[in-house]
Amino acid sequence: MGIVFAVISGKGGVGKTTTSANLAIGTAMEGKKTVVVDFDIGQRNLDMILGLENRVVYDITHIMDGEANLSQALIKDKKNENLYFLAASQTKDKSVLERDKVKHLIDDLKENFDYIFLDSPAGIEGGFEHTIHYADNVIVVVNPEVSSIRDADRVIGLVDAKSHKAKAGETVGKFLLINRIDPELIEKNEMIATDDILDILSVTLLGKVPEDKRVIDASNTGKPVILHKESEAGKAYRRISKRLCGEDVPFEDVENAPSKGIMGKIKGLFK
Amino acid sequence: MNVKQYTIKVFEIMVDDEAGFLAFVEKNEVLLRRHLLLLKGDVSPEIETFLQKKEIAFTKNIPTTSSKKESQGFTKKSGLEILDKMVRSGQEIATQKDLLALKRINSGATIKTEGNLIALSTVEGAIECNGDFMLLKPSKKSYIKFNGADISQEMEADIFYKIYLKQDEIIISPYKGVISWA
Ligand SMILES: Nc1ncnc2c1ncn2[C@@H]1O[C@H](COP(=O)(O)OP(=O)(O)O)[C@@H](O)[C@H]1O
Ligand SMILES: [Mg+2]
Repeated sequence: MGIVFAVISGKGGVGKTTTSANLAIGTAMEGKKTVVVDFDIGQRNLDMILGLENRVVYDITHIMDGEANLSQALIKDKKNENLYFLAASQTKDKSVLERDKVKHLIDDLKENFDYIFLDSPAGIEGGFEHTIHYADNVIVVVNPEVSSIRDADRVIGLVDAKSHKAKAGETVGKFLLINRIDPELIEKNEMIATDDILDILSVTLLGKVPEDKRVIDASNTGKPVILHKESEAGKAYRRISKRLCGEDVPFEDVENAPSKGIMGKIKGLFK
Repeated sequence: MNVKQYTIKVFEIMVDDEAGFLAFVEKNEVLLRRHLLLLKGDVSPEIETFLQKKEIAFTKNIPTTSSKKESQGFTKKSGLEILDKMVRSGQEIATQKDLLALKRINSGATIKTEGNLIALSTVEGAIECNGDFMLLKPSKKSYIKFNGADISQEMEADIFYKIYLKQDEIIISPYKGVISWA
């Protein structure tokens, strides 16, 4: 039986789609049979980040409407045989998602995959509700800034109130991924520190991903950053993928730029 | 709806160390000027001249109107509710009872009590308490209303305050003691 992870944030543009794509690839690299589903109906872009946009024939709404079955709509990655993708519709709006049909789809996916990632849209309605409804775990993506943290706090509260598992008295796993940590801004004290974020949100830290120009390049080239050996964000996603697969990987100090070395880290040593 | 208007805001301060007190007044001059200071303890002539020069209104050592008669007992209303979960953004807790909130009250969260309120952790959300007594630690982000009066601007961040009703006045006093349960 597969495990469902909903990737959520409340606020838009914090890195949910980037995270969904990279963690799906990462866990597939670890040998898990993985599928990633784009629930951002009407605004799909996961296909582009994965470099699979020209392969999309059927999408999730075709499954909902019965125009295609699951095996027709699933896109298999050419580079990694463990990785599959189910696209969102670019044209139809999200009202096509019906709870029963979404449940049926997710049950089907759980039968056939080890790990299922659901890339949630921004906001707290429609597609978001569908992703948290049947999630076993949620990965909450935040940026180290006030409004992102507050929106994350809000969606965590909604998970507790609305998820199927939580209603049945079971606990939903809640994990925090802090994205776009910028060593330069940390140094200038313009970013909220990890400890403070954990204090406010009170959920388990899954990982920290630094700001990395390659993330943006990757979405243009369709080669996700986890496939770049030298990318710091890519390395972070690889560590997080391993953690998701049960490996005990220590947290790296992404708050400090690696190039600065130990001398640069000791504050006040050289003036 | 029954809205009471409290016009004078009173700041109650215990003067135990004169230098410390003068420094406190100096630092909070602007804030204090809007209040009546209710001074307890050792009020020297120096302090009096100092306050007069600063144009801060004060009275000293008014016998504390037999505090036993006053309804400051914490469980005065119909019972005590203990909230041991953090309150997240978008969540609202409303109670007729007294409330003891053990965890954080986050930005975007709301707490409304008809009874008294004690909040032990950081408050970044909105509080509306209509009880006789409140103990909490405001932050820069918090909004705090006590019996209809917005007192958010009357307190500094990150220290505990006791806020209570005395006749028709709201008394706001920094709580210096250590909070312990023994
Ligand atoms: N770690 C990062 N470093 C630099 N840019 C990033 C990072 N994570 C995300 N981005 C950029 O931020 C934008 C929004 O990311 P996206 O994953 O689409 O967010 P969401 O799905 O939450 O709306 C994209 O342009 C993406 O390239
Ligand atoms: Mg997205």
